[in-house]
This record gives sequence, C-alpha cells and structure tokens, in this order.
Amino acid sequence: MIKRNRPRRQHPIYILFPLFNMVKGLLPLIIITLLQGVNWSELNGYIYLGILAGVTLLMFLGLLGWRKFSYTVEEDRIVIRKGILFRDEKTIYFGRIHSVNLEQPLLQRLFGVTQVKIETPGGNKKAEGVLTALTETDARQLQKLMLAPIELQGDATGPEAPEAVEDQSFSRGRPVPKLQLSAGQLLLAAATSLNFGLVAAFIAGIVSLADDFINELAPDLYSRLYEESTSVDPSYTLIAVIAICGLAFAWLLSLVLYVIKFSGFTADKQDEQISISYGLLEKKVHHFDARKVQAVIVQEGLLHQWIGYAQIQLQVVSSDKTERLMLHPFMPAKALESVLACFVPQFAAAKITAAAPRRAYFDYVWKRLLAVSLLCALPLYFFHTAGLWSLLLLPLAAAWSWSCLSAAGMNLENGQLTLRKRNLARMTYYMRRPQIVSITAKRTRGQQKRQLLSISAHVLGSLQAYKVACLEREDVEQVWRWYSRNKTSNKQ
Amino acid sequence: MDRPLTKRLHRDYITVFRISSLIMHLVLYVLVIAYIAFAAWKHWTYIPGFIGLAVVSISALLFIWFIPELKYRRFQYELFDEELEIQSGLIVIRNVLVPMVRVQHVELESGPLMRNYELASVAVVTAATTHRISGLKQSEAHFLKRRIGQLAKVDELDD
Repeated sequence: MIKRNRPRRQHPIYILFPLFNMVKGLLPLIIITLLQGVNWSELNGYIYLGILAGVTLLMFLGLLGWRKFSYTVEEDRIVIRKGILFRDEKTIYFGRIHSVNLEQPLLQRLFGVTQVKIETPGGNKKAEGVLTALTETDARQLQKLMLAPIELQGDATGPEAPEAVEDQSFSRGRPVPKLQLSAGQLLLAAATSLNFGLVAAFIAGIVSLADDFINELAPDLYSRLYEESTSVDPSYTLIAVIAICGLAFAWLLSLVLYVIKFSGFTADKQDEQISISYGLLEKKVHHFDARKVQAVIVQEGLLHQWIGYAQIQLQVVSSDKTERLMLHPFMPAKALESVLACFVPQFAAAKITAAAPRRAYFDYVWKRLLAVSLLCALPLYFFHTAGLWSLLLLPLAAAWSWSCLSAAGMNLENGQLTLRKRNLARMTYYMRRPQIVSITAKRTRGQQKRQLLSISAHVLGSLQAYKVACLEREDVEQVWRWYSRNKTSNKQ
Repeated sequence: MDRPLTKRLHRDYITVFRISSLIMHLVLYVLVIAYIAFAAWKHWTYIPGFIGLAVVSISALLFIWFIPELKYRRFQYELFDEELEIQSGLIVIRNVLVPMVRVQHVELESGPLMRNYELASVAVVTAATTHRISGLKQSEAHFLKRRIGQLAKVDELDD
C-alpha cells in the first residue's frame, strides 16, 4: 500500500535491472561465442573472475541505485529522489500531469512488475517521471492517486478550463461503454490492415541482428547466394512467384505483429479519466484526462474504408512527439459519433462541408504524374517494348490523385476545425481552437490566381502539422479569421 | 492574410546573406577543385569534378545574386496586439499566424557576421513550433523581443 507523505522504494527486483540490461545489450555477442563452441576447461581462470567481478559490480550498482531511489506521494504532488553520486530530486504536481502510462516491456513482464511513466507537457525527450519496477497493485494505486479527480489547477489547464466545465455537464448523463475487440474482429482488423511500417521495422531489426550472426558463422553466405542465383537463368514467372511469396509473407508477418500489438485491447472511461490497454508481449496501459486530449485523428485505410471501418487515435501531450494513442484500432465508421460523444465529448464528428474544388485537380495530379513518368522512363530504357507496360501506372496515378482530391476538405463548426485528406489512407483531423498553436496558409502564384489555398495547423503535442492542400480560398480565409484574435484589423 | 503587413527585415541582411553564401560557396569550390587536383594526380575521371563545378556555379549565382534580394522583398511581418503574422517564401508564399497567448518564449540569436552588421534574429517559440525573423537591427530585435514578452503574458479567456 502506498501511503501519502512516506518515501517508498521500488520493487527489489530493480536491483537486478542494471545486470539484465547489460546482458540484453551483449546478447548477440554471448550467443555467437556460445555457438562457436567454447572449450570451457581451457578457458583462462581470469575470464571467470572478470565475469564474476562484472556481475558483482552491476549487482552492487543495482542495490545502491535501488536504495537511493525513492518516491513520495504528497497531497498534490509526487517527489522522486534518485542518484547514487549526484542526487536528483524531481517534483511533479498532479495538476501538470497529462497522462500516466503503465507499461510492461519484456523484462518487466517476465518478473511480473510494471513500469510507470508520468507525462507532463515539457520539451524533454524522455517522460518526466519514470518508475521502472513497481508491483502491479502499487502501480495501479499510484496511477489512481495521481489522476484522482482533484480540482483542476488553473495554471496547467488555463485555456482548457472553461471548456472542461461545460463538458462535465455534457457527459454526465451518458453511460460510457467499454470498448473491446473480439478475437474475430481483431483477426479481421489484422488481416485488412497492411502495416508496412511495422513489418519494415521488424525486418530491419531482424536483419541487423542476423547480419552479426551470419558474418560470424558463415562469412561467405551472401556471395554464395548471389552466385547461385545468377547461375540459374531467372525466368519472369520465377520473379513473379518470389514477389508474390514475399508479399504474402509480409502480409502474414504484419497480421501476426498486429495481433501481438493489439490483442487484449480495451478502452474505458471513468470520471473524465480514459484508460486504454493493449499488448500481448509488451503490455501497455495509458491513463489520461479526457479534457487533455489535443486532437482526434480518424484514419481509414483503403481496405478499412471499403468495409466501413476506421481507427481512432488521440493526440495527447507526451514525451514521444510522434506518438498517438489508439482509442480504437478497428471500429465501424458509423459508430464514430457515439464513441466521440462518450469518450471525448468536446469533439464532434463533424461532416466535411467544404470540399476541395475540382479546379485544384491540376495541383494534385502534376507532381504524381511527373514522378510516375520518371519512374516509367527506367523500364522503357532497359526493357524497351516490355517496358511499355509500366505506362499503365499513369492512369493509376491519375485515379489516385482524383481520390486524394475528393477526400480533401474541411469543416468549421462550433469552435472546432475539421480537416480531411488522403495520402493512401484517408485521415480526418478534429481539433479545437484552444489547442491550435499556429496556423499556416500557403499558395503559389498560380494557386493565388486560381483562388486556392493550402492550410496547415499545428497542435500541441504533435511535431507534425495537420495539412490539407488546395482548398477553396474563401473557406481557408474563414478559418484564418476564426483563428485570428485581432478581429477588427482582419475584417477590412 | 489580406491585411497589409508593414514590417520588413533590414536591408543590411541582404549583404549578410550574400557574404555568408559567398563563404559557403568558396568552401564548395575548394572541395571541387581539390577533387580535380586529386583526380589529376591519380588519373581518375574528371567528370564528377566538372558536374560539381557546374552545380556549384549555378547555386552560387542563385544564392549570391537573386535569392537574398528576393527573400528580403518577400519577407514581411507584423506584430499585432494579440498575434504575430509572418509572410515569407520565394515560390510558395506562406502566411503564419501565431497568437501571443501560445508563445512560450522568445530567443535572440546573432552570429559573428550578423553582429558585425548589428543584426540579430528573433525566434518565437511555441509549444510545437519555432518561427524565425532573422535579419533585424539589434535594437529593433530587442524591442520586438520585449514587446512579444509583454503581449504573451496576457491571460486568455478563450472560447
């Protein structure tokens, strides 16, 4: 039990963490030495001594680190003291906390402890407070203590406060359902979302790890493979089969990774606190105040949009500037309105009313056509007539541009700006005025003449701006006037 | 977006821009010539050297001759009571609107070359973005910094 005003240490398993982290870092090296076959009896005694000394030192450091690390929960703040030589004391006021995440990376999961990350709005790369190893009950209790519905302190929320008051009355009457994914839904979601990013990261990781092994174990593997592959006359069917197999493998891998990442997904809300948890191997639980959500992002992948599903992400202030929290990975697009009303009632599922005009098609299409033409030049140069097939890409690019254009649009209603665009997946951004940090309007000379404007909005917590290209000039000017604080000087 | 923005950078900024581009391109020229000399010594092909020479020459022409003047002409800004608007861009014209209540802090920066001409650049930092006005006289930059500092203090009653 965590008691207020009493310093408390982490779980004693923390003593082992420096040792395990070192072992984890050296793992490839250790495996390689073991695989190469070590003659244990011939080893020099000093090596054993050295390993023993290293282990003892790391254990000792772990013990010291554990003894010197304490956290104290006070009335309105948590104080974390740490450091062996250089003492470090950090005070985090509860009112400043944007989210509390309970995570179980592999190591923590093995020992049944939980890592707590406390996120506040600040420029740091790392989370403001990290408690590496707590028992699960402690972690849950701590999270509850820190996010208890205390009066929101004015300094932290400033601009959001007036809105928050109105929200409470808004959400009170509604029962909040628990969002979950059944096994079937999870599988369908995994099968229809080709997450190439996830696959690429995984493969890159495997390759970099495997490279070490391969170079050690079979130095001439690559050159041998190359020789064998060139000695056989490669037919086009073979290449096609290999390509299809590769794609199928990538799809299967992405499916598995998706299931591992999102299995056990639940999203819940209790008195303004949203909690989201998912993960099979590395379990993550995010807790945050619904009123501190900066923006809502709805992403509809090509396949998902076709079968009428979408994924909802929330932009929250966090130390990882690219992170967005998944509110729901796979949800019928029709349910968006009710989910938003339950979880983040300050956002409305506004319909896009101001679409990009048809005359902007040229601006959408010319870059893609140029890129595709350059791409086509290569096969034409190398394969001559057979390369003509690549010209089929041109109408494809034109169609793609058209679908990008018809997805682009915006809406401005009840103090909420909604932007929608498509790259491959269709993205819709919902944001409110107090959370927008700056707005940019762009145009070239030509677009100026054709009355087109591109708009981008920066929201707190995200490095990336939310942009839509080439909208009707009047619509963007309306947003500009809405965002501008100097109403008089802008009206002329 | 359509309201007139009256403030500009100082004309000395054009000179500073030209000098710094000149220095950068001299360095590039030295590198290219070093390659050609090395190629002559080792009997390599000269072609990369000639391509480099052409590219550097074109970029020198652009960055020393045209772009400084153009950038000066295209850059306008104005500090209103509650917001800062900056217009910039050579091919794509961008207008940025930064409300004073979203400003976190203001930074003054000036390198040795800019100091020589008594110039400085002002960086307006918000929680997610940084906006630079570089090439103001130091006195004006200081004034702008202080003014934004005052305006940013105003508490907001938004929505």
